[in-house]
Amino acid sequence: MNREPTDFNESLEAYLDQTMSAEQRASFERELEIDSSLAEAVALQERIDGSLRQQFDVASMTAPPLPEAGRDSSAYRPAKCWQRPVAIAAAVLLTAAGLWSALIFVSAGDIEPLATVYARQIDNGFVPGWVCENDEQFAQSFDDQFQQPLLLAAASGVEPLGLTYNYALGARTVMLLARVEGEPVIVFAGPTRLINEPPRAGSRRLNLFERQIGSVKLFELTPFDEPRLLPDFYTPEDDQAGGITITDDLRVTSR
Amino acid sequence: MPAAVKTTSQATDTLDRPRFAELYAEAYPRLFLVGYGMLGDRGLAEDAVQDAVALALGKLETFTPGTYFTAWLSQFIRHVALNQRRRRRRRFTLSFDHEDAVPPPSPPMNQTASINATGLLEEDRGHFDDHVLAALSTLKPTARACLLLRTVAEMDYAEIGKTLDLPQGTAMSHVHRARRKLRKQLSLASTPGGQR
Repeated sequence: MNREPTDFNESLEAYLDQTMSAEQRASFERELEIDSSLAEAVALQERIDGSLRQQFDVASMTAPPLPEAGRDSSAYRPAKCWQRPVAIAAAVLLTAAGLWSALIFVSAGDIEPLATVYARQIDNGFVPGWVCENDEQFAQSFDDQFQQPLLLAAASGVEPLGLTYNYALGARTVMLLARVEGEPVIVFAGPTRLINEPPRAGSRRLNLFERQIGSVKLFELTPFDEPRLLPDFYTPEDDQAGGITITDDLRVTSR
Repeated sequence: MPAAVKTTSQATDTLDRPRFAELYAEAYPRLFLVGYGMLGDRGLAEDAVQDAVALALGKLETFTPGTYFTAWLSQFIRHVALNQRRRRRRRFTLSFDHEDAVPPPSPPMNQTASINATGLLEEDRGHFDDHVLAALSTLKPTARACLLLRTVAEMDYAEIGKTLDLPQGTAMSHVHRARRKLRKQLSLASTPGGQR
């Protein structure tokens, strides 16, 4: 079927926007049955829309706590008048922070065991959502999420695959998917201030290890009896200081 | 309509901090989408919203009673985002001297979601999602914001126009052109030998 491109696009957009009358819509749907290019365009657009809705899942978005009024910003230099009601603002902020913490605490009880996340990742092919091309991107990913850049030293038998973002720890979480001696291992990273207690491993077959670096808590879920990734995380400051400092903050948290 | 996107007009008569907190919580998904539209990156978008909120809290007196809260706050987000883009351009003058330059798309939020509404294999879906994000990153910021507000937040064109300070018809044109551009890129991407 031959149609003018403009007509084609206008009809398609009107159909997608649901601005057609019932009669126009019925006519358009009849055309869909005989015009394969039109049908393909509609199907592709619906697939794109579905992808966008899934990737920007507004139902799971929750507003972070209100920041302090008048915080310094790259865009504006705030007027000093914000300091005037500082006592009142602090009280409100503390109340809001308390409510937020309570919310986090309540939702922490609903966190699924990390072994469930691990199993789902394996079922889905153990493919990360994001593959960093260099150390800078890797460090930036953690810096963006937690204001704490992290790096991972290369180690024998360890193959980092990439990062995936979710809320596995009940707060914003960055997962590092890796293979150690061919076995899948996941490191979950979350903001220290929002993780009040270690998550549950939820499996006797998997061990969970914990380490804290600055504002980030890291949990390694692994079939091995020792962590193979956590000791190799370091900060760019460690790097500039001439080497990695292995601290004693590494421990088994649960099984 | 997505469950988390409420449809109240958010026109409010008074704006103190508790009321601000209430409206902000309700409007957050839309505000985030504005930030993502302007910056093309999830982390930057979240930061931009936070910076904008901090600024707005210090300027509550500039809110006109009875007007649309989301639109008022979106102004701050757009200014913050514009400033971030300018700084980024200065930092990457060699390769990022175009106004619409954006960083590589950040990972999707629900990468681990197991629901597959399209019936596709998850692996195929993941690849398609990657192509969608890549195509999204080629849109101009305002077009990207219009598209996301329309598609994800399911706002009507009048609301989008108010939120982004655009005429309604302009918002609609942005969405239509953005859809066509994405379809073109995605149909190329799905064609054997087609470019991304």
